[in-house]
Amino acid sequence: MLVLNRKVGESIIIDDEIEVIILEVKDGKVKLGIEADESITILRKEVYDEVREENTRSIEEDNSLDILKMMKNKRK
Amino acid sequence: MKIRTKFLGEVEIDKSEIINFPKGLPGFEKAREFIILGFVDNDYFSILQSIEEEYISFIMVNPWDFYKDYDIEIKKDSLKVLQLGKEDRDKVNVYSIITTGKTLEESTCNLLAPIIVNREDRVGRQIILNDFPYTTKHKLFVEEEDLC
Repeated sequence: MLVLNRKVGESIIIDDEIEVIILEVKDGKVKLGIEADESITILRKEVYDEVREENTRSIEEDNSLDILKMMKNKRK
Repeated sequence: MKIRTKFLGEVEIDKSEIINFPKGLPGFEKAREFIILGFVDNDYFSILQSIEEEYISFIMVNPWDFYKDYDIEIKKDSLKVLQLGKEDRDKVNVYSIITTGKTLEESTCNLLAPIIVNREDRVGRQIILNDFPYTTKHKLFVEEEDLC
């Protein structure tokens, strides 16, 4: 992992076009500004992880077909 | 071509029906080719089945069958991946993956991260709705509901 020290107001440039600016550091929180083209997907990692975990859970259930049968009866 | 599926056994498919997911799905980033299959006797559900891996198989619903007021926005980053213009609404299918629990009442639907498919160009992506109040676990049915 590349580690860099930055002060408030300083930034880094990724791949010539994505700029990450340190806006504020307060009470253990860092506020970042990100300048990037709208074609770049930016997500909080915990949100991505949550979707990843749910996807994994959803294919692990073995009784899916039974549940679908029950649902079919219920929706009649 | 014939593929092995998790829920329907061996299935004959046409190569032209394969949907390409250029980014895979979160947790399954390497799975790039999928097909959407229906159940013969059940209109509410479809299956997103990986071509390469039999065990990667998601059960999906049309979110509007269960949540009439569901609202989504496909942002520019995803429009690009999906090869969609702003006016291409007619080419788009939207699905939500469900996670079945031990009972019907424990089964949930992932409204935070719908599957978007560009039907015409056969390309798909699971998008994440950052600015919406959705979660990965919306109940499909409420327990006290009485449909009789």
